[in-house]
Amino acid sequence: MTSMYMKLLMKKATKYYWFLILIAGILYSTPSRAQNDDASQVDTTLTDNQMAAFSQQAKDDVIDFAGHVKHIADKNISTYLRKKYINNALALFSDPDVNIVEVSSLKDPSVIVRPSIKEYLFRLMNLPYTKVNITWYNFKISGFQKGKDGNYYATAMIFQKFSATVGNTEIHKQVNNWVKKSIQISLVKKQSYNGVKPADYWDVKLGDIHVQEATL
Amino acid sequence: MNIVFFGPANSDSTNNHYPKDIQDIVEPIQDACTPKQDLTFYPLNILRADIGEANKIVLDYENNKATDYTKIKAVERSLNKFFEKETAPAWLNTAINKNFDFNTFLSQDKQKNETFIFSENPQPIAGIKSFDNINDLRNAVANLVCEKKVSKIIILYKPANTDAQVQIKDSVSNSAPAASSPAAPVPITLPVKATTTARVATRHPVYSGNLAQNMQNLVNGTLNAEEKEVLKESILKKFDPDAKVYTYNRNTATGVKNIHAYLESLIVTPDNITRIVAIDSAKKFEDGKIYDLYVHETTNEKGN
Repeated sequence: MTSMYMKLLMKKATKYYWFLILIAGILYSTPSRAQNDDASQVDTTLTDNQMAAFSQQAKDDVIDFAGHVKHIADKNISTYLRKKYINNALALFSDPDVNIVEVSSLKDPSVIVRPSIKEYLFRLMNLPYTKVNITWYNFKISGFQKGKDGNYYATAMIFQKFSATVGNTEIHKQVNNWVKKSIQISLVKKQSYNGVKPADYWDVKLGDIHVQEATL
Repeated sequence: MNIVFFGPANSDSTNNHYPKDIQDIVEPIQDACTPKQDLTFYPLNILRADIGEANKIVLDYENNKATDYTKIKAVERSLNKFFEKETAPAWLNTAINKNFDFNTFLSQDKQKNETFIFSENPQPIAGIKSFDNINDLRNAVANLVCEKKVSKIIILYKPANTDAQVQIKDSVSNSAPAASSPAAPVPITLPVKATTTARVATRHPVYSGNLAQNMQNLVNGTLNAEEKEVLKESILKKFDPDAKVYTYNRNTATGVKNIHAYLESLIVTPDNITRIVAIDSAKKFEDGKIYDLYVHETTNEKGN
């Protein structure tokens, strides 16, 4: 009985022998091939000219986001359009579900809440004011610094003025606050497939937004 | 409170004004009154058809055995007056939302109803208030709703027919003009701002003969967000739906966006920013649709 079982086992092992060799070969060769690919990639160091170009692009993206924020908050624009603007604004961020925005309280600037960027923009669209005006200005951006992961990082600084009118036509109450905010920016190397071969490109993305100073 | 909204449906891919405007009117009004008013909206879709078909809209509700034909006729007359002087637009057709219960609508209390027209170029009709500004219309409706002055409101919505208005040359500004293209852009006529709800001058977005000029008109300028949307739609007709816009800076490709997102980013450019768009080149399919556009931008904060 035992010898019959052993024979059956040997028969099965022989049947799958070549398959097992094939799997082992693939497992062995994959790391070395990946290393070769890494070695063939273009150097990840940017020239000064490229750094300047991407700094300008990062600044443009911050300005772009500022424009979206202003329009999303604008009650004179249709909800349909403002929702489209939200989607566009979210596309500027590396991870809109994870990236946070620090928001200081209008009543007490020391009180700060941290919604995700996605949550923040939807709240912005539905603020309980009759009129909302958000303006970002004094756009400054630090130079990109290379991180340990090979990507580049920078920080943008802006000032935000928020004003809103609450109540109906009889009662007007104006609220104003000024906030200095910093925005993390990453420049990440990515790869796309252009139909013929993989192509590397750099992608500028916005990240967390922090409050630096807030005043009423 | 019942509100009937006659307008083109969002299923018409060439004209998507309807969803934005129904939301534009409905959503703010929902919260406008204190305490909140219970509103019921009946959007009636009108799609691609002859003008004569539009006149039958209300009569089609005979199938619902509406009892008060006087009121039905009143709505019908409003529609007749609304459409009779118009050239039949492409979107006009009769397609009725069967969820609309006209019996319920008519069997409310006996208070009179109010009819508004929202159109880019509203024709004055006795007894019907015309608006060319969505905010004015919204305020007027909200006022009636909050004050409970009427039980029913009818809004006839006639959006701008972009097909008829938009004429955009297939040229790229930084390229040499084609032989058949005009050497100089079409003169720009500034839009006239409507100041009254009576007969008003048509307020058209600004169009010029080249792509860069049209794109530049999306940035800041005199057009409001809604008008820029109309201009954007006209620009999009020259692009493949999946077209990409590549931004260049110092001979480095720094970003890529879908054409829709790119044009919308131009629209939302903050007022305190100067943004100049220059087109380097464009790649087109055989049918002339642009699929890759290469642009160079210069942005500066005003005052800096």
